[in-house]
Amino acid sequence: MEALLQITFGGLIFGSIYALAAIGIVMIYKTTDVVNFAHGEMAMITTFISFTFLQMVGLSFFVSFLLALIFAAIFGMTVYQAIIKRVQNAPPLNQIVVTLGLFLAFNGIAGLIWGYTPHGYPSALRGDSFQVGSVFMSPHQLFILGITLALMILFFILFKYTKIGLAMRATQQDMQTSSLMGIKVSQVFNLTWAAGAILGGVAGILTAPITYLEPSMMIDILIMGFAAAVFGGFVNLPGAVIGGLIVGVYSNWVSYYIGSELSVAFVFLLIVLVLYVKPTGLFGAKYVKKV
Amino acid sequence: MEEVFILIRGTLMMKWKSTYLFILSLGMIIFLTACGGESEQTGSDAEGNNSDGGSTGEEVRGVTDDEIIIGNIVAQSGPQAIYGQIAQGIQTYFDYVNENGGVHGRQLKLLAYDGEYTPAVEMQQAQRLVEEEEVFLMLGNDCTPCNTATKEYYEEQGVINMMLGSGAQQFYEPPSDFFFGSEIANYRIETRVFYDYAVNELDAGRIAIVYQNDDYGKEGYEAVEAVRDDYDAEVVTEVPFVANEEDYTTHAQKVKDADVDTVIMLSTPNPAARLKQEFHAIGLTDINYIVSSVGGNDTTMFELAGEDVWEGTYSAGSIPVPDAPEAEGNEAIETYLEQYTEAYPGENYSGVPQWGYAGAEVFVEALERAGEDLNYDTFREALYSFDNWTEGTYAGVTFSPENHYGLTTLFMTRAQNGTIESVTDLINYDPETGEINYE
Repeated sequence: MEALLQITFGGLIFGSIYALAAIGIVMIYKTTDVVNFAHGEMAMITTFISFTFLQMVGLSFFVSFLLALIFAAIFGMTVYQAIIKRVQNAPPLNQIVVTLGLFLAFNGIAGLIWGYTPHGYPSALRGDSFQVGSVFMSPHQLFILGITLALMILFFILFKYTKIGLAMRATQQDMQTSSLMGIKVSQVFNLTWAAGAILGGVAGILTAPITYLEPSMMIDILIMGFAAAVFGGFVNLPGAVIGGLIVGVYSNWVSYYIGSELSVAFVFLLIVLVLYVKPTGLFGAKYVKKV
Repeated sequence: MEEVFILIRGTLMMKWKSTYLFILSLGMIIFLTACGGESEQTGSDAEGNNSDGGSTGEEVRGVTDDEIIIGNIVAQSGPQAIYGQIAQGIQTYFDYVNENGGVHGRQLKLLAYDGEYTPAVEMQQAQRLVEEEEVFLMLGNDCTPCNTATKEYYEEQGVINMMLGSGAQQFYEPPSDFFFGSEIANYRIETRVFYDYAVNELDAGRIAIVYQNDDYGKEGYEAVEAVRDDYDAEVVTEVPFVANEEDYTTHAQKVKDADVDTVIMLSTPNPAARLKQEFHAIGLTDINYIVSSVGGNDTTMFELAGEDVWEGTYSAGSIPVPDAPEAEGNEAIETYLEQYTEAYPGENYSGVPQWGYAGAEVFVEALERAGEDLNYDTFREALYSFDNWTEGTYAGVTFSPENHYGLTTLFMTRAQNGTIESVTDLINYDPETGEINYE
């Protein structure tokens, strides 16, 4: 029982990271209809920027964290304005090829600038592990859990109850009508890409102390983030978070009781089963687009 | 009517001529192909025995009166680009030798190509270096799967590979005429030494083997399997993992459940650091942690895992780390440090670049011993004369017709006070008897 609780807690931590990656992917898709395969690599670049502030400029963790997130917002908007906007109305396959191309380009650029040697990255909250009952937990792990839940609630409220959230939803449903209704579509997209890049950046900065900082650090996280997003329904923010947590915990159970080599295979098997029973994902609703 | 007969006869004659010409042409093609094939197969005779590709008549491929061309393929881009430092280490020593007059009047020219840690790419680069550049031999190639993929090609072409960046058994057992030595200790030898040291020196009784579930990790695991009954200790759990796994919480928990006193970890750096972090996270701090030299014998591990976490970790080395106390007064190490930091200022100088530099030292020493009349025969004889050679940065290098390992001497290290220090004298492994001797 002691082991089960410990690995379940460990699964919740990694699940939170998958969830953070998934929220960013879902948010951009929900608003702009673009599946951003470069999301993880954008997060990795933001994390390298924070590392530069931290190590080379010598700023504190939280100042570096905030500056990196400002960079992420500008970075997200730049990617949208310079590249994605041009393919906004292109067929989905073209959009996929463009974001896959960005994935490779960002990975290569990061390698050229910062090299491929992994770097250690400091935790947000340092301190020794402590025991709650039989479960060991560290301040950094609790920080990851807290940030994930806070961001999920924040973005859920933003989407559901604010004007900008309404504009985002309207734009996703019908870009032209939204524009005629006075919504500045371009601004909404800018904001969405900025927010998506910030979410990715947070995921990267929280992941780096665990997986170490290197250009390929987000590749596996992104795959599991996509799995979490699909699991949760792909257009549902709380669904993406719950999907991430389920994927994290389930993956750890498989790893412990069956074998770590099979955990990814079993995660995707579970997703196939879920999609077979409920093709829209666990929390996805059937969505009919007006024509 | 007669005209018809003439026409039929003419047609038959033409058909016969065509058939005759076709058979003749086919025969000539087969003959020419056979001749061509024979001229290309410099590496194997009719019985399949390997022959030298280094010498063609009196000329030796890649060798002139004033130059020797050497090939190298390591990852210079991509996630494994750290191994590009092997080429930097080789180049540093070659520059040093060339500045001092070369070897027997010949300058050393290194052609280092990017293999991207990908077997298909490394095969293309091998063909380019062997067939277009006509190198004398290959030195310090990285990547076990890449070396596996190209092994047969080099043997067919009759090209010597020396000081591979792989400690896999297949290149040294049985001894091949075209494979000599590794830059890092053989994985099986190293793990045998770990097990011996853990039981006899650290009084280990309950041991966990955590291993990377691929060709690299399994080599060490199999080495322990072969000798576990010879020792008064028990392997109580075996935990395999995949190299690119992110989460090590379950692996740490499995080790904790097994209640062990020693963990032997056979992995690359990231998993080794991650697992020890997870041990600390769940309060498992009072165990011996022994990590293979590829994954643990580098000061950068303090940065990855954290100084307090990495402190106390055991590993093995065959070259002293430049910052370690035992490196003080070691002339070869001091020369290395001076040359490398001048050539690559501000870059990491411990670990991987040392492999390339040390491998180049062995190669140059063999060239010196081979004399002015350099060919594969004289070169092999020169290698077989290495008997615990200690004048380079390696702790000891030995070759013989039965021993192509090269590195059978190593020492145990421990992470202490931010550096990697030697905690034993030299440990010698005899490949013929399997005996381990502590000096």
